[in-house]
Amino acid sequence: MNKSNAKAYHHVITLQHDLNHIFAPLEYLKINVFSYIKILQNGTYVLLSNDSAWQKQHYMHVHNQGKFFETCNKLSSENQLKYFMWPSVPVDDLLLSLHRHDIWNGVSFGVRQKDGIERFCFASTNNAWQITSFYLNNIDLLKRFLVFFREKSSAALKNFDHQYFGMFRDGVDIMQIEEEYFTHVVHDDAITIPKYSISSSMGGVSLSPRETECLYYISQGYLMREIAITLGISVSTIEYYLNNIKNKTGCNTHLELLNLTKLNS
Amino acid sequence: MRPEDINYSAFKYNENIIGGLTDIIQPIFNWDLSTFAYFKFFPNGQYLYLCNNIAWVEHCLRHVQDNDSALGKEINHAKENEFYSLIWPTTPHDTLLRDLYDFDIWNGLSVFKKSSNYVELWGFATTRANNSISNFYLHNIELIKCFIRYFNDTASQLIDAKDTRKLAVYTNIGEGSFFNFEDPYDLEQINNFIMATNSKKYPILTPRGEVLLSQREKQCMNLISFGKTAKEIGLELDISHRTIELYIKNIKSKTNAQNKTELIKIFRKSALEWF
Repeated sequence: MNKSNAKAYHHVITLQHDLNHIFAPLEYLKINVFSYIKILQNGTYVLLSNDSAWQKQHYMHVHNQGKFFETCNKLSSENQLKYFMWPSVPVDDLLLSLHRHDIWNGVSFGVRQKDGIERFCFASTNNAWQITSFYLNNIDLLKRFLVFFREKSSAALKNFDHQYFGMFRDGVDIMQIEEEYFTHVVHDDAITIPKYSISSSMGGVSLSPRETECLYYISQGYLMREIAITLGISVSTIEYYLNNIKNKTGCNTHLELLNLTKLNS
Repeated sequence: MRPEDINYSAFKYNENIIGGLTDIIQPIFNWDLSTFAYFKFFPNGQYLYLCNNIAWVEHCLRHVQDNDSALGKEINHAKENEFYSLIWPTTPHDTLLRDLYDFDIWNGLSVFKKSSNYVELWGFATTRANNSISNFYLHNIELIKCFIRYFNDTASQLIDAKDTRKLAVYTNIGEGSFFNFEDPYDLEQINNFIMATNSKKYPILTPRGEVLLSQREKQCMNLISFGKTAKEIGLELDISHRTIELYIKNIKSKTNAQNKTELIKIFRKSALEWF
């Protein structure tokens, strides 16, 4: 057994008592396991989790990141919080070990920082297959928890002494950055959006495909000139479409349109 | 399938239209999906079923006699005029799932929507080997909804169910297991969760890095993104609109946004936002 990892483990369990109340709200969502890991460039890490058995297993027996979490690391970015649904079958040793501990059906969030990578994992049991759909339909709730967790745990993490960091025996390289299809949002021109009806203060209104597209991009926060580039038409044409939508829906301003798109998600 | 089989005409219908169906659903093959199915369920146990995998259609129409599988029961979570998405289980724990698994129709997503007198289901699936596809679903659920609108528009002839010869029937529809809506999530518990997870500062990620907004600033930002003006926000939060303008100025300088629209863009793109 690795001595420094044993020391690291014994230190983090002393924090457990203070952390448990932070994890508690997750019970409302039937998310049994939450874990937080921060990995530094030199391959050392700190792992917090509400599942102390898993925490122990990780510090004592996990020697590398495994293929899946390595990919998550590579795809993590500094200015965007990325999320990764766990695969449907355990494809590496670390996932296999999680599966054996009945920690499964998980989703991980990753963000890159100047000194390392932070990752947050939510998971349930092997049988709780419905939870992945819960993530899909309620991703905002998970993000909300992350904000909450980071605020509440910041004091404990700030004073966390480097001598209590664990270490991946096989090493870990978190500096590689990769862009991949894996987490990309796909745009597909083959799908022409049909006439689409939305509800507005003027009642149900039917929009043309182009108008719908414009409204969709507006709702995604695109600027007019960006929409023009994306759709390959001029800014004045976009203005024309938006004016049409405004006339149809009785909106006066751009911002009211945004409001409308929120109601009609 | 033999002419005397109960769902023979429904099978024949699927066989006739499979070419047209496959043309319409071309986009999904670019996303590494291999199977698409469309269902329209009626409360009397009749249903319209289209799928691009004819062997699977034949199997289903012959052997599946009820809608009581883990996937089928989810029909009760279909909301009126709203999409409900379901990622399939990762282990084949009932007969229907086992059959799908054996046909290598796996790692799927079902999207349900209820209308006044029927429930629609759009099913997407890939192979057993493609085990990371749920990431695609998670990131592109809006695209899939676009596809569904596109499909229903383009295939409106195919999915028209007036001609009853197109329809198949469940011989065993159970004790009124259709259309008993129940919310898939416990809203009270979700409320408890929200109450228990308030934060003082809300980080949003901007091109210049992470920026922290106060509770008030976040409230303002939220209302701005709903299209409210400073005056309206002032009325809503019961503070002077001058103060609101000050908040907005602060947020702009924190996030380095030039104008309101840019501000909203940053706010919406930011992955850590919550409102």
